[in-house]
Amino acid sequence: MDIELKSTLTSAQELLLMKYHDGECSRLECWRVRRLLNAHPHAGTFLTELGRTGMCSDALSIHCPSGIDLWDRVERRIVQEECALALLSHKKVAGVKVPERKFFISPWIARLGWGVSGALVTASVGAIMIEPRSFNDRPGLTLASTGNTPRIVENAPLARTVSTMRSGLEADYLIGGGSVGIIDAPEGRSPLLWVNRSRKSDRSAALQKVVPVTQTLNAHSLSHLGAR
Amino acid sequence: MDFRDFNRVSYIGRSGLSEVIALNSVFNKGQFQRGAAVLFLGLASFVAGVASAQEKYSDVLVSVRAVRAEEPVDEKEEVHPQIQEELGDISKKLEKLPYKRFLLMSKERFSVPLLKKHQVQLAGHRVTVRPMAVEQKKVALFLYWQDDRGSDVLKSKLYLMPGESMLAGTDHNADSGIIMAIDVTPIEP
Repeated sequence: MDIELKSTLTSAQELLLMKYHDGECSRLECWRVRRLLNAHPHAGTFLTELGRTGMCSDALSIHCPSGIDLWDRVERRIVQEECALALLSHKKVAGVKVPERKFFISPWIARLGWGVSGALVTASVGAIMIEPRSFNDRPGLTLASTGNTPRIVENAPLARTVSTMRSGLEADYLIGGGSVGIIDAPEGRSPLLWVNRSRKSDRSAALQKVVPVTQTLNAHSLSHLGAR
Repeated sequence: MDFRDFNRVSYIGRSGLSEVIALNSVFNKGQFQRGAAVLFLGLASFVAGVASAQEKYSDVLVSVRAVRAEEPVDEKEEVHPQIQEELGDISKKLEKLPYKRFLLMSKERFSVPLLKKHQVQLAGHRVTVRPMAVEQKKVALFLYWQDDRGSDVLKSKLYLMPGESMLAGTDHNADSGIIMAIDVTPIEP
């Protein structure tokens, strides 16, 4: 029931869709949502998942036309197939000459090959789904550890996919009213976030080290991530 | 509809119409195909079961505390800050902040269904949370914090560990700061 954690939508798109779901969009934003729904395959899914919890929107009705229940269609089709099996023997298509297949190897072996391939594909899908997805595996910004010394990282107001290796903080994005800093907490606990909105005051008591950035980000990247 | 049909239907329900036709054609052929189809169904059911196992949490219990930090200290000044008793569990973290005193201003504890939005007012600050998902007991939480003037302080999607407070703070003015301590606990239905 929950939304897939690794969403391919950007932070701005997610926020826009959430705003739309909550009925807080202006006309222009509604138009942008409709464009997004048409353009992005995951936008509809995201909105549908949000919509499951209660509200229904116009955009959803475009993508999920009401009155059509897939299950009903499936059930009807099954009944049809059952009736066809019971009343008719085997289906034959009149007037269509099906060319006889010529296999270089035995048809039975060819079918065996298809069966094994199908099973392998299924097993692969299963293995991918079963494999525990660690949040630490998520590609993104990695902040280098500076040992036990407290540190703060000053960055641009927008950070996308922030993850600290040693400590417990993980975020898809951080949009601060000022620069967002990350201060290490003791005993390997999750760090603190500090939004520095007044540049005048010097609150850098905790600042000791310059933290190198190991990776730049793709979408919505940090323009810079400097540290004092 | 016999037992075999029931299996088919339960699988079809998850996968869609196209598989109905594919499966029907498979079932009508020889014994091997039937065996392969059963194997396929078994694997698909197993995969579906594993996938649905992630859906066992329906609500998230969220606790938000607003803490006021007073008297900023100088960079080189060694201080042992005064921390209110109610904030004992986060005292180690608060000590990292350059302030002399920490006071609990307000606290709220509420349960939010997954994907639902909940808004609270704490000491004039508006905090909006929306739990997006729970995976491996981590809670993906959308957080939107606006100050008492309505300005944005922080907008983020965080992955929080239950049982550990996440602290986010900002400088309220030259003499004080405000910190939000957020705890999450996924609830099983």
